[in-house]
Amino acid sequence: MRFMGLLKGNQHTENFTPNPEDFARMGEYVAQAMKAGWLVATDGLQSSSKASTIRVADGKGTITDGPFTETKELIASYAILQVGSKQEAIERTTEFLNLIGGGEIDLYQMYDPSDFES
Amino acid sequence: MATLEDVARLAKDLPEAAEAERRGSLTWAIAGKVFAWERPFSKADVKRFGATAPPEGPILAVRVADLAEKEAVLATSSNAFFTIPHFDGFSAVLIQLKTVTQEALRDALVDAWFACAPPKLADAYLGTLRTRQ
Repeated sequence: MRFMGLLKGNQHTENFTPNPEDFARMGEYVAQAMKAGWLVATDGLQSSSKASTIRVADGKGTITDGPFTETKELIASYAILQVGSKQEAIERTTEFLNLIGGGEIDLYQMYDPSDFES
Repeated sequence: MATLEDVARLAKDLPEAAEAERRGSLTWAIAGKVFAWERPFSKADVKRFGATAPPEGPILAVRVADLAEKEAVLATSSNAFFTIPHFDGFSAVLIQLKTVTQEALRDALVDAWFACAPPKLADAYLGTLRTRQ
């Protein structure tokens, strides 16, 4: 089963440039996780000042450019996990949060085609 | 005794090494991997030194092959080589440029380059080093 983890952003992550060692450490962790097979994809997301919200209602579209002022709207990175159980997804996520020195991640289970087979 | 200029000069001698500035600090990379970088202490680093004064800068960080190599370097090199808690579990060591010898610095940079270079490039450079000897 697959899960999507969304790391919540804050003032700090909005304009974050990691140290060379943190950047390298994360690169090695990601490479190892992908090789092991439990990490499908992951990326850091750039500052919300470069983001936009696109809304369509009643056929009418509006675009609102960032930065997003509500901290709870910020997302710093995403990861797609391929794991055997939700418990494993939680363990991987906890390990990652420990690696980055703490933070908050919303973990969603993703739909798979098999979820729609009857 | 060495300076960042020495680091830049020695790094330039290594094949395809690229110098760049990131957040006001110098970095040297091979094939996109940073093998040496200027590493000023963060506030959190200084705090962890507690009552002891942190080594005077400039401080250089260099990659080493692996954690066993890191242990070996820290055990056998001069006091110019050290580490901080932020580097725990990460294969790199710190060097106080003011107290390191030119020779030790050059060796550390060469080792760092080898720790990060793609195998093909590393083999080729190893070949040229052997012919020179």
